[in-house]
Amino acid sequence: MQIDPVRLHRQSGHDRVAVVSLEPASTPGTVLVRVARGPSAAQLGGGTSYGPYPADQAQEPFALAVQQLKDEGFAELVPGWDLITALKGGDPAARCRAALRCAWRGKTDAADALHAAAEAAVAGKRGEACLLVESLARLGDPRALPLAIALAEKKNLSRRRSGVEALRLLHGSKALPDDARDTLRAALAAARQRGLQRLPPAVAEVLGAMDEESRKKEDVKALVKAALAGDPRRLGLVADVLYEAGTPVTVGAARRILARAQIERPHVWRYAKSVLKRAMLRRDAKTFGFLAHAVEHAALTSPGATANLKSGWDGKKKPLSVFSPKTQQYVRRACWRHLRDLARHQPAAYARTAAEVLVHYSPKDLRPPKGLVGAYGRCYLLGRVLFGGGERLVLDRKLRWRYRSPAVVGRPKQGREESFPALWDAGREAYLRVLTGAKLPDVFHFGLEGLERHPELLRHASLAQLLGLLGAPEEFTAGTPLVEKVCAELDRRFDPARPDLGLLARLLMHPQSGHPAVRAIAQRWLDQSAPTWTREERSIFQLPLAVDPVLRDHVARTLVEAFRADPALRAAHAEGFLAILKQPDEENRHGGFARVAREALVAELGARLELDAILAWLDEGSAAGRSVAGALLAAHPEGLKALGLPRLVTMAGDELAAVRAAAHALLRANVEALRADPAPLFALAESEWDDTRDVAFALLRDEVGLEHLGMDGLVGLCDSNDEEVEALGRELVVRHFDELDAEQVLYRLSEHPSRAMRAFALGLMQTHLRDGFVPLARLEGYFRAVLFDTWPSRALKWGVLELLLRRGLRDERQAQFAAGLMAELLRTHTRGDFERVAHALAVLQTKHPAIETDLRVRSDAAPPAPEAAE
Amino acid sequence: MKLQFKYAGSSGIASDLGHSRVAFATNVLREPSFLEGDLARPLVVREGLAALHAVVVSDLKYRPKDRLEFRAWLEEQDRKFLQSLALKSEDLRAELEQKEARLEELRQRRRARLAPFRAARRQYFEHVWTDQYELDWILDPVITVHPDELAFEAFSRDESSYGRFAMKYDLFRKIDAFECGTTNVDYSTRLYRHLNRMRSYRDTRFDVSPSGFSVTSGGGTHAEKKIDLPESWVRGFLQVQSVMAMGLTRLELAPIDVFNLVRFVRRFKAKASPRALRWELEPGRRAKVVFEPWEHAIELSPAAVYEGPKRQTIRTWGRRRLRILERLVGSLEGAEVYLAGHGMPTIWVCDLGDATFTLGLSGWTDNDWTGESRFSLLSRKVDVSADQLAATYHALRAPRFATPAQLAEATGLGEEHVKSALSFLCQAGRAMVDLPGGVYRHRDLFHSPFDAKKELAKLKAAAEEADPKAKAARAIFEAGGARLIARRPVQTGYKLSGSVRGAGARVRPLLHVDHEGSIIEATCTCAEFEKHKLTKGPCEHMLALRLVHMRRLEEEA
Repeated sequence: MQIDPVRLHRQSGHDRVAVVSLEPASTPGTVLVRVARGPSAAQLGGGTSYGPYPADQAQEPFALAVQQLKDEGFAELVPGWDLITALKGGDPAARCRAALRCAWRGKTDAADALHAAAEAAVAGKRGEACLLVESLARLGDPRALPLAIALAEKKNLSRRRSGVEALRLLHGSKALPDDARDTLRAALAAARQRGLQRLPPAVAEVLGAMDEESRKKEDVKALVKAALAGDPRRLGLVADVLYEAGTPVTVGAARRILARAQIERPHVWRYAKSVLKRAMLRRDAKTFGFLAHAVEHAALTSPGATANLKSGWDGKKKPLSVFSPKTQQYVRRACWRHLRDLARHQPAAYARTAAEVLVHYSPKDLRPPKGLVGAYGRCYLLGRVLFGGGERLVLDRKLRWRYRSPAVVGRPKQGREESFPALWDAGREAYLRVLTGAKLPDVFHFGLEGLERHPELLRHASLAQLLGLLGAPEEFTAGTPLVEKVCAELDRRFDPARPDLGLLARLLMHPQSGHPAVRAIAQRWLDQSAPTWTREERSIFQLPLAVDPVLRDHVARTLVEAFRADPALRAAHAEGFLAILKQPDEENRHGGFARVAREALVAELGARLELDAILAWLDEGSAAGRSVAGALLAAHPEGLKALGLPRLVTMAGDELAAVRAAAHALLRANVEALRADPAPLFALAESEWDDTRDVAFALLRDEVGLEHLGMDGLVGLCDSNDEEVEALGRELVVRHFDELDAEQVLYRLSEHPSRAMRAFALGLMQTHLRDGFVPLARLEGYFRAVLFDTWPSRALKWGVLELLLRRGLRDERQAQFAAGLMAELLRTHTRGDFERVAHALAVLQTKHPAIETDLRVRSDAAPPAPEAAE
Repeated sequence: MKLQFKYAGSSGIASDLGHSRVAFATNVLREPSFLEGDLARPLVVREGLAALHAVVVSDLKYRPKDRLEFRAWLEEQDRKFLQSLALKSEDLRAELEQKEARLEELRQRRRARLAPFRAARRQYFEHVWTDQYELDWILDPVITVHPDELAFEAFSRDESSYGRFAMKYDLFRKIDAFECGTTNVDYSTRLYRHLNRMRSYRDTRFDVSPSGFSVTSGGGTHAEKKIDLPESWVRGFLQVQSVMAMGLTRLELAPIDVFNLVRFVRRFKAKASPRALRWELEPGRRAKVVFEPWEHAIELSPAAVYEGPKRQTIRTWGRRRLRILERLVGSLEGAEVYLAGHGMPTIWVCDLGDATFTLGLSGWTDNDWTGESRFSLLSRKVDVSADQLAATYHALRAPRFATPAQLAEATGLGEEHVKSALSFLCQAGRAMVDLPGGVYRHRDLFHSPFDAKKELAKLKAAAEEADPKAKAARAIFEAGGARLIARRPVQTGYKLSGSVRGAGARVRPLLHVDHEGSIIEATCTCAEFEKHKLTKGPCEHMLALRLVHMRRLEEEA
């Protein structure tokens, strides 16, 4: 025998709900009567079991259990009966709850009861009037109109809000007769007028001057600017009034103003709360999502404040707690209740609204994990949406999410944790909103999982959504195929035969256009549609502004090819290019134009500019402009005269490669002038730019011969402090050594302080130093510098000692000189040096006994072999 | 102290194939001193200025390493280790490894993405280092044109090394014009690199003038510097003069001695203490220098015979600063080293023929010239009136340099008073000691008019504030807490033995003072001397005993 469970409830007492049911007992053919009871249906305990009873005799104990509960005051629930009863009842809280239920469920059969209750409440000026009128208006009942008008004319914020919002709800009602519609319009206009009067004059003036139906960002910015320039304590009021107006511009401005204001502050909070309530009534997902998150974020840091404010209850000014923790908890829970009601009664709106909530959470909302409370522990609403369907997390009394146990900390590999997963699947477009707006990795991956479940989403996504997906942070998309998938979808939509140049331009201007996948399709599109866009003026002047330098370069290269191939194209656009390049370019975005101008438009631009104009441009233009001016100047070989060598040297050191290249061209074209005066080349050889140095080196090495450089020039190169220039000097000295005065070269090189040059000089000395005391003695400074160098090349030092010894063996004067130097070094504490010096001195003193030093050579010592030393 | 420098041109060297012009732009906010002439031996100037550059950029102060990154890395390793201990499951371990690998991959990508930014940042800091650092940090050398020489003075940033490069006018082939005075010259690392191009085979013009190179049109300035100079830096600069005026132990060195010392310092770096340079001096014998901790001894050449009366061992630290002399070794004709005592400053005077390079090194690198080393206390000063100070200043200013005896004659003051006045002038930055020349020279370190009363008041106030030991000594002396036990005249002055009772127990100071009262040698049984010897200057007991001695001298006179 089948007995359905009976559900009972009562209005007072600890346990409000009870369920009596049958369940099979362990003995076959017997059943248990289970009586479960608790404070709510969600909090029913395990209950008490009676029995077992034979299944066919269970009806009696079952009825007994129900009767016992009825004796305790429980009554059976009848669907629909309770709402109307409650509306007619004497409990205002019950009336409100019932009204709310009726509104959500669209129970038009309760409209009479609701109207009666609302009328009584408005007449009696009772607080519940707001909710009752809103609910009646939500049902679209025309009888709500006079009540709403009455409320909208009130001064009190909550009544005024309810009245206006009820009027707005009625505005969408089809049940409203035409004559009532006129009344409604008039009431709305009057309400709007009253609202405008409450606005600061500056804001009202800005608002009055614009088209409110437009969706221009500039209008929103102007409104926000006017509001922010005023009294910061009135920001809340301004936001509420603007939101009340309900046009796209005013709603956008209200959101922005609240984003700039601290909503938890006393003069702002009541209006922020008001806007939140209005957003709930209007089902405005965007504003609701923004404010729900803003409240939660403010609750993370603010404990609230106490301020002297006029009470909404009795109108008296007194210290009131504002945004207290209790209020915070209430509003946060109310936000979730709103989402839950949406899920139950307007399931199509749930995913969209929840997505708007999720996208506002950012790393600023996270807190370091502590115990079982994870990083998301304080994000109540996010937890409800993302993890509310799972069992890993539980809520504590402070609305913190904590893991049920340490074992469940990691994300489950299978299964879904979000609340109402079926609604997400039904409203799958919301995943795109999550992906384009997510600021937290978990939120992004939630969206990504949704996209993987519904791959067809991309196919139906709008262009703006696809480009928005490309803008997702790289740290989220790294390692995921999202960008590639979006690129594939974009590529699918692009038809090279009839290219969407707007799409191409938007892709090139996209901040993420430097991503390899994006860049690849952009380059392909550019190539495939080149015949089209290179002929279209708008694209020619728009695409070279591409964000990614590689793409910019690609555009420029393609344009160069097209321009080179078509003189008409060049002639048509040269003037435009010149105009752009002459404009200031503080963000350095004209590089593409400059390249095209340099590589394809030199003749056309050169014909439009005189040499003086080019020089002036070179001095004062933007970086891109100067590079073009340099290229134009390079085409004027006679430019050197006007420019002068000193300025040419400056140009060759310019930070712009194109300007340097122009200088290089002029240098190469004026070799004769450089032969007459090679001094600039010495300066250029030490330039910090490799290309300039290369040019100077090439000219010095191959073009300007020894006859122009002379020995002074060669030694001048060797005198440089730059190692490369020194090396060039050495190379040229070796090449022309036979044509130079060897002794002079040696003396000059010997004064160089660098070790490399000293070693080079020693090499020359060993083979080219003239015999005799005088040439040797003239190099004393060099020998001392090498021998007393505290960190020399060992080969260099020993080479000098060897040279001195060899020269000392030739005659006594040279030996005296060499011994004098070496005797000073005899007390060195460097063993290798000492041994060589001592040996050399011994050899010299043996060969020339007249030489005396601190070294004493024993007479019985074996005579050294000078030949060996030689 | 905020110093302002303004230059109408820049210092530099311009060379064509046969001529060079070295031009130093002087501070146009200072007195218009200048010098124009042709150098006869440019290479000596080149090497001398290179050594001066080494002083300017020398900064060997110990700075602890920043280990924040290392600690963070260490903590990360600890965390990973603990994590790996906790991971018992192979699956989890594998997953962790996979995620670590992924993290590393992301880091690499981030590094690659940030590479251009980092390169640009590096370039920026190089620019700051080469172009901006000098403007903010390097104090331009002081240049003084004297009737007989041109001198550059510089003090290192770490306030531990002082350099003075003095060029006698014999170093010039001819001098066209000069105007005596003191000013700053525009100086930069780039200039130092350019100076390396000086050669003897080019006619080298040497100009010190306000214009320098590349004068801007319309009377504009090439560069301006505003440097916030630490007070300690200024005091240190001035304390050098106090040390030079002390009785110092002098040793004569041959170039090879300097070479051996500098080369050893260059080749070896001690990684553990002790790191002192130990001077072992025995009367009549060649001095020996020992490098700790290796105990590597270098016996100096026969020129370095110690002529003092008794054996002593002096330890000095911060020997790496000797590398400042590297560029000079090849050009040296001789050198002198003056030792002040254990842990006290050393003065190196390098003879370059017609030029002299003086290098003053504090006792050790972290012990700057000011700190707690009251070298000025070692020299005695009699009270000098403002008039006497002004008379001495003006008497010195006229000839620009003079001996104390010459100044005493010129002012009619006693030599004692003149020496004290000179000591005050040195501390005020109005004069300096020329140790190798044995004279005092006029030199206004800062550009402000001389007011004897103000200078004296300032110095005395500073002395009261800065020298608590002198104050304590005066208190002991006036309370009768110091008495002489024995006083023996010797050739160099007096040897004093006394008993002093200050704040603590009675102690026994022993002093060796010269005829002027400057302390040559001293010991004391107090705790401070036991701990610091004379490295922080004389203790209050020594100073009190010296006051008793001075009163006795006055009574005898």
